[in-house]
Amino acid sequence: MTRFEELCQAFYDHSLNDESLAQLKEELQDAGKRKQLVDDMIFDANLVENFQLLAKKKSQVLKSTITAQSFNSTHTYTSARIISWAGVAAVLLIGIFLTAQQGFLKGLLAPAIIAEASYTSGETRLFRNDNELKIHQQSQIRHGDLLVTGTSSYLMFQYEDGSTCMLGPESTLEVRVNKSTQGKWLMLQQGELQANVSPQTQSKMKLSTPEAHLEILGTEFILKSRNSQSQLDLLEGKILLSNTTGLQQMTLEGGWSTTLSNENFSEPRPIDEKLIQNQSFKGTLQDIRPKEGRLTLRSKENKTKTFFIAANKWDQTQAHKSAFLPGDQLDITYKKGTMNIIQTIQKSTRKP
Amino acid sequence: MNEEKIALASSRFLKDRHALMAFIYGLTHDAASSEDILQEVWLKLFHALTEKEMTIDNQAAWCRGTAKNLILHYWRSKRDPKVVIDSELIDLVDQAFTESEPESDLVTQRQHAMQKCLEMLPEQSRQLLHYRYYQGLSFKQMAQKLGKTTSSLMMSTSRLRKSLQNCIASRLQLHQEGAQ
Repeated sequence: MTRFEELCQAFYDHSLNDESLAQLKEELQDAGKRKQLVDDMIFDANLVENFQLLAKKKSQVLKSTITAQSFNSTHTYTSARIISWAGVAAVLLIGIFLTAQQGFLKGLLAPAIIAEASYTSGETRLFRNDNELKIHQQSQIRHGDLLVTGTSSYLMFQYEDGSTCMLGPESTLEVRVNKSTQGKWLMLQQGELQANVSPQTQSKMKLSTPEAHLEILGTEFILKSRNSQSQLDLLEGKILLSNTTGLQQMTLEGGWSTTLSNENFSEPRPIDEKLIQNQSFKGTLQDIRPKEGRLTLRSKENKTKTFFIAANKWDQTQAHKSAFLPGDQLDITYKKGTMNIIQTIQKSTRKP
Repeated sequence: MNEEKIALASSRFLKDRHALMAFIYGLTHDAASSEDILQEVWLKLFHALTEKEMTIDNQAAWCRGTAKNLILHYWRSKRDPKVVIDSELIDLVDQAFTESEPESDLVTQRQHAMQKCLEMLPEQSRQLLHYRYYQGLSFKQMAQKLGKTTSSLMMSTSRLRKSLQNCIASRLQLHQEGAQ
């Protein structure tokens, strides 16, 4: 290895000191060396891109395996693999046990907690490092977790800043933190996500689908991703969209909707009336569970309806706590979205 | 907005994308941040063409200049005292790219050839490159992980790079001969 190559490697590793930096600059006075540096940098970037492609292919295979095996109780692991994983797990467990006694490994091993599950219904699953974990209310959601819902199933989770996301039926979502900005990052592989995002003051929230990237500063939207197309209905706020190549950009305003594909976005069109049309429901409050953010109402015709309250609006709702008791008559107005996040509670009357 | 101008700029940007990415990645060595910076450069280019209605003669150089400022900002925001990055060195790298003006088509061909060559590598060698170029580990970190010395890992990586370069060169030659 030549001295120049060593200096280049130190440069890439950010381990240059003042002396080696000066040497590298001197070496780069030579046009031949500059050419070599460019070739090396292109070579490295190509390597990174190739490994990223490989990883993408691998993760697609993994995700399709997870989706295929969802909810039918089949196992794709061979017994040999299970034994080898059990061996690894046993060694890890012993190591963890021995060092956790001194109390410093716990925090190091787990990725950062990002959010907390606030409501689950039906078949909901959480995959962490290819392992399936149980998910229930107050389960912690960490960087890199994959959330999967089955038919007629919902999973609601909440960030520390009050932003709430509801994953709809037959959906797969990866929850991440953008390493460079520390901002929220969600990757909707398929299905439906409804979110109510609090104003993001530190850094934008990023949302990716296989077809597009969205940058969110604080808004309310419904995003569906199926069959290589994403449909975005923006109820409030403003979102910056870009396609996967990053070359097409568009800003969508509240009350507008667009369809996204790898190549382009459709012209914005007014949101489907069904989504913004206010619906009302009158009934008797049966049940109130603040932690779950859920209200169950029974109408005069004895029909019941459950409403999910966006958790960041729950405090607001609790301010009216005295007016909210089972048996009360409620008159609720809500947007007719698929998941019925309550917008306003117009009237509440206590029975005498 | 001149749509023809935007379309031309887009296609130019797409062509130069690999070289620009190499410039950014080379100076940050962080794949995720490099992607972010690349997107930011495009946004700034789009803004300059549409809202400021600028005329840009050498788009590749303009993009590198913009990327240069974003990279300096990236390092400043990191506040890592261990990292020595100075604008003089970035200028020298920029000069190197200006002089070479890597041919976009060739960069793409090399990319495809590399894909095939990587598949032919033994698993252990591929894993080594994976640590270095996908996980972005430094040689020091790799040495700790693999229980080897930094210098032996530098040597192995250097050999691997050379054999990959040879493989790519012979594939490109075969491709050219096939085309003729």
